[in-house]
Amino acid sequence: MKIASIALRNIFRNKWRSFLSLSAIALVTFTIVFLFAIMEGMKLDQRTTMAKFATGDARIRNAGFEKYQFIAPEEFMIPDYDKAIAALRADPAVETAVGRFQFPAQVAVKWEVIFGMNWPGETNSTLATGLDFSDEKSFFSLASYLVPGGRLPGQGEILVSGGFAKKFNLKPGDSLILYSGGTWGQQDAVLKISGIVALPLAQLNVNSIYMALSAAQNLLLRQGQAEEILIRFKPGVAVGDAVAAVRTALARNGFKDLDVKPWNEIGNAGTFIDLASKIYYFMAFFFFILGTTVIINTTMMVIYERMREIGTLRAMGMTGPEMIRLFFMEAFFIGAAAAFVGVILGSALILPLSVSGVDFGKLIDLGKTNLDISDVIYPQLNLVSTLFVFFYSTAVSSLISFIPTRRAAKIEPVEALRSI
Amino acid sequence: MTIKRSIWLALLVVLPATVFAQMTAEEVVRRLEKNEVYTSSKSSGKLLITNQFGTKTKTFTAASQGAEKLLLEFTNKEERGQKILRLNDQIFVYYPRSNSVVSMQGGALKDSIFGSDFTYEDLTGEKSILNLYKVEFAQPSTETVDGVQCYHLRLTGITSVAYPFQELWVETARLVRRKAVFFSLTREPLKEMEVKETKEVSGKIFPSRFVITDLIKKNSSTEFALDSIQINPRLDARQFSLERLKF
Repeated sequence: MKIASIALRNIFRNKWRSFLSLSAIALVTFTIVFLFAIMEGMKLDQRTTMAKFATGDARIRNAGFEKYQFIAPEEFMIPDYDKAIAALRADPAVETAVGRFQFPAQVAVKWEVIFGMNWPGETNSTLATGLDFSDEKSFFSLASYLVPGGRLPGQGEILVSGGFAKKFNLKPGDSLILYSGGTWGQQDAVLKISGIVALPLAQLNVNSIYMALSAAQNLLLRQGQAEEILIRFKPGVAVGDAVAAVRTALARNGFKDLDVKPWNEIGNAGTFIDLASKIYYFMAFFFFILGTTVIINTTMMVIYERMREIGTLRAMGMTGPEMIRLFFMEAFFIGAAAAFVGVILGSALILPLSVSGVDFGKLIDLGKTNLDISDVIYPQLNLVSTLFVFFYSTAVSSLISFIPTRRAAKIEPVEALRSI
Repeated sequence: MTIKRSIWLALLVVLPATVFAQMTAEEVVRRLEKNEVYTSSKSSGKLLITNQFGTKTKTFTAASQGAEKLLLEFTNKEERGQKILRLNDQIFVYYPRSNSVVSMQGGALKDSIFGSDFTYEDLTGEKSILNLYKVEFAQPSTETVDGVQCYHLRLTGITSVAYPFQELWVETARLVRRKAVFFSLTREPLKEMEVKETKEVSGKIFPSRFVITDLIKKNSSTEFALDSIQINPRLDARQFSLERLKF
């Protein structure tokens, strides 16, 4: 008996039932593929966000900075910044190296002029960052986040994050007064806003301002120094080996007190990424359970509602094992087709979204959360996980058919016919 | 030892304590403040801010009028031209680079001045100690500080003050401050002030060098040293006005 052809004939004989069954399994497969892609996108985003905005592939700081950054950060700068940068750029493994200054500041966005002096009513806390804009292209690439009408700042100018600009109704051409504070010394400057940057990371977008590295050095009276240098290595370079080479190069150039750390050893970066991955896998596990339940439910219902047909087939002489094979084949064909459709639909949705991104910032204000995650997530299609989902969906929908079919195979034809 | 000699010796020991005890704690404070009040003053000096990483020096000139008006102008390179003006309980900071004036209020008053152990709040409080604190002698009422006999007073805030509790040591002989410890509401010691040197100018005794130590931070102290001081000089009253801050 050609079980496979009977199974196919059964599938096409009741097109509507087969379609519903296929749709349910396809929808589950599609959902799992899509969610996996979102999670992959979130993982990638966290890694790139961390590298781009905080750590680079490796970060150089004064060895004492970490310990004393809240007490006396100014005592632990990278001296002779230009020499350090030159030494790093001479390293063949280094693609780029850029210096930064980050310091808390107070900003006055409006003031009255009384007695010929500027009187700000109130000041607001902000995180100021000094960057070398010409060197930051491959890192921060602030130019790509510029809102139309703005440009990168020169001396005496500043970039303001989108959230901050929106909160205080600021636009290019406006000025603000910046006051550094704490142990950095009380320095001040009137700065003109050259542009607004709509940053992808909500936390940065809330209250960040950016100025040229030299402007930050001048403001803080730290000429020739930098707080940190971020390094990006050339593609394919092993970070561990490259970091060791950078340490040697710096020591050779007389820098004794600098600490070079690969990104995954900075703060909790590595642990955080690991933890995030585990959380994503944990979430994925629940999606799987949910999806599996839907597939099992659909497959079992399809078989149980065919008890009269089972009774007829048994009355016509089909044996129990043949019955099991028949329903297995039907479930396998539908499951494979549904998984295929689900994977194709999922991929078709993900591929364009992996370019355009999904803007979660429109759904939730991530600036009010502690999540170091961008507003826009770019889903990533992972070949291994997609193939896994395909085979998993096919296998579950096929194998689960054994449970009702084995029971049905043991029922006498008369009993099966009566059970309807 | 003869009885007569013994009596004399006993008198020598007991007499000072008896004399000191006759003065009330309030009287000690009144006489302390009398020495600290003058019409005007003009001085120059420096703040030596020391932490575990080294010492930074901030130089300044200062002018005061009564107990209510004070103008500090910093003359060191980093903060040159920055001014702090105190008018009664109000503190204004002038920043020359931005030609701006910030009125220090609320939590900002607790900010450190240039990373020193002084806060803006420390510059406020023009009222008499007796208007702000209940004053009483500690037990014992006198104590020796660096070999100098002092009254030991305990101050308890009776109104909203920067330091709800203080202990104050006042020299018994000259009735000038020698030492003070400032406490939080939970009686945690926050800062300590010790006078290291005094100068007598025009009949007034000044603490010309004193050290404030932050008791919470490690190895942190700020020395306030006056290089020159004039008492009751003629001052232009307008310099203590907001409109003159930029000049």
